Amino acid sequence: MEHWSKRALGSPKLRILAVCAAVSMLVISVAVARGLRARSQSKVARDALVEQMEKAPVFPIRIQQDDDAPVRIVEATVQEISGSDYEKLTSEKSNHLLVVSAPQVKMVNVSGKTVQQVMLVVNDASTQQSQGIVMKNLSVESGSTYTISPASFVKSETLTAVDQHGTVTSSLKPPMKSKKFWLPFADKSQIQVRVGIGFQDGTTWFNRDQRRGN
Amino acid sequence: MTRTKPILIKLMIIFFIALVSGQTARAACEVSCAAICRYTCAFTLTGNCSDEEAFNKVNTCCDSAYENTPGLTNCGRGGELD
Repeated sequence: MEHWSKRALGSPKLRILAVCAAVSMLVISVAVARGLRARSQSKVARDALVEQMEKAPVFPIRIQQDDDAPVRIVEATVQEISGSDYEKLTSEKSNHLLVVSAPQVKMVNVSGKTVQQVMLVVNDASTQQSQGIVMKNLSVESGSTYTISPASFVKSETLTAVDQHGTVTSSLKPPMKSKKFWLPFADKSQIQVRVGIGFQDGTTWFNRDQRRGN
Repeated sequence: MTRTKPILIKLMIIFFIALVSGQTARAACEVSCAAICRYTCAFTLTGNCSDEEAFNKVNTCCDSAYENTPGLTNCGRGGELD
């Protein structure tokens, strides 16, 4: 073996080849290490953003509801971040300078009946685009408060990682890292929310201007 | 009298057509949806319809989404009773 290697490396061509291979390996190792470092730095930056967002101020948005609504929205708010922070958080591009979160909507059941279903409609008044969320199989009794948070708009995802010692760790992906946490609407002052309600007794309720044929 | 009757009928026809087309325009909306967890579903409305009309379409869409999305978990966060 020793004899073979001495003879092999004795050849100048093979010696050059061996040096080239060693240099290439070194370059590749450095590149991989740098890539891993950059990725972990970007993760640290994103986690700092998540913390920052959790403490970010909230802005009230418009509520559309009739005076005699059986389920009263008492509070509706959104959060707002810059387009660049949105890109750092979600790794998605945004066409807007500011990006608005899905709303947090707090409502009180004043109907005297049990609410089984809530349809929350989020509407952009400037473009008339609407999206929303529907929650079924609820049991919100009369007098109770029910809150829909922006996290409700996001499907739960678990992140699993294995470190260099082979230790596996799993954690819930922060919902704000999902693009579903954010609305495609540019201007928070144009955003309005309203609800449609399904009661346990099979009846439904909508704002007067949102009833069939209106 | 004989002249006013056909005019009245024409007006009624025009009114009926306007009413029907108005209703159709309002009801012309499309719903796309995705199940988020068991019994929670996000949707997007395109077009113009009342919430009452959208409600039925959203429910149809979401019921199908629940059936066709494997591994849906219970909703652990989001809508909360206080």
